[in-house]
Amino acid sequence: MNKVEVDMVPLIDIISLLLMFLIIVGDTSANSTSVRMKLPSASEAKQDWGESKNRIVLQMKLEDGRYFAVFNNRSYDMGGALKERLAQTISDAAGRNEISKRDDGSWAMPVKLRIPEECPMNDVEKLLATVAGEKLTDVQYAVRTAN
Amino acid sequence: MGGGHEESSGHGGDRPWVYFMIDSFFLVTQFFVLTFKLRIADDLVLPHRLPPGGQGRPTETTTAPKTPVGITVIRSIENSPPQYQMNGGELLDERAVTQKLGDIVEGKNPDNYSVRISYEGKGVIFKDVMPIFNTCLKLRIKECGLQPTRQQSRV
Repeated sequence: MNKVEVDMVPLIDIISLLLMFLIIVGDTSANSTSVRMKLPSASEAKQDWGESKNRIVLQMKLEDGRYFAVFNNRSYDMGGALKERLAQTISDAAGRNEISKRDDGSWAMPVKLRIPEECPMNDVEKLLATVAGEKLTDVQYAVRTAN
Repeated sequence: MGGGHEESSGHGGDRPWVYFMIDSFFLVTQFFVLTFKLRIADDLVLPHRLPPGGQGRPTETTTAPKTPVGITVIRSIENSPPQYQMNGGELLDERAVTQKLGDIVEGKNPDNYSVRISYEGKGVIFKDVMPIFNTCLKLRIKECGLQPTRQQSRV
């Protein structure tokens, strides 16, 4: 009687490839565009090549009639909670010497803001005030091309 | 008579090309996903510089004062198109205000101008203000920002 043997090597090979595929795809899609929104249009828009690994991406999300700031897939109230989170992020990055402080006191840490076009300016202003309050001045508004 | 198992040795057996094909397919797929998905997923951006602390003040002290240009965005009725008022003048639509801003700066040094944007009415949305940021970038006016509203206790 022939002994049936299962060749484990290709099985392990394929499973590991599948896992890597799912992890990479899942991770890249989750982080930066997790909130669906309609962005405002701008003719002077530039291609975003994801310039810096220390870039912060903040998104505005409408929940229960209020706008919250989403950072690393967590929602924060604009003002206190977001301010603390940003301060912590800056502190951690500065501690690792990944960012430096400029002469004017601002941090060399870009911030990408994904704000839906229908977001009220009151809320946008709160977000900008919180960001600027933490001395983050390099801002990039996510936009779409003007048709 | 017998199966191919007797001849199999290690990876692949009598049809090693099947496994190479599967491996290659996944590796190529991952390459394209990593290369193109990251590019496609990324938005276009409009760079902007905020004043530190959000006070609405200029970031540098210059001996030559900049010419202030105040633009107020007004949306008195919720679903009506936004209107713009430059330096307290007449109400303009988006096209007219961007044209007027361009006329002011034309032939002059854009560094001599400071644009401050304010808004009136709860109906003003981000989409209404974006054309001003866009025009300032187009005209190379570096100093362009929001004027903090009076309701903000700390900007």
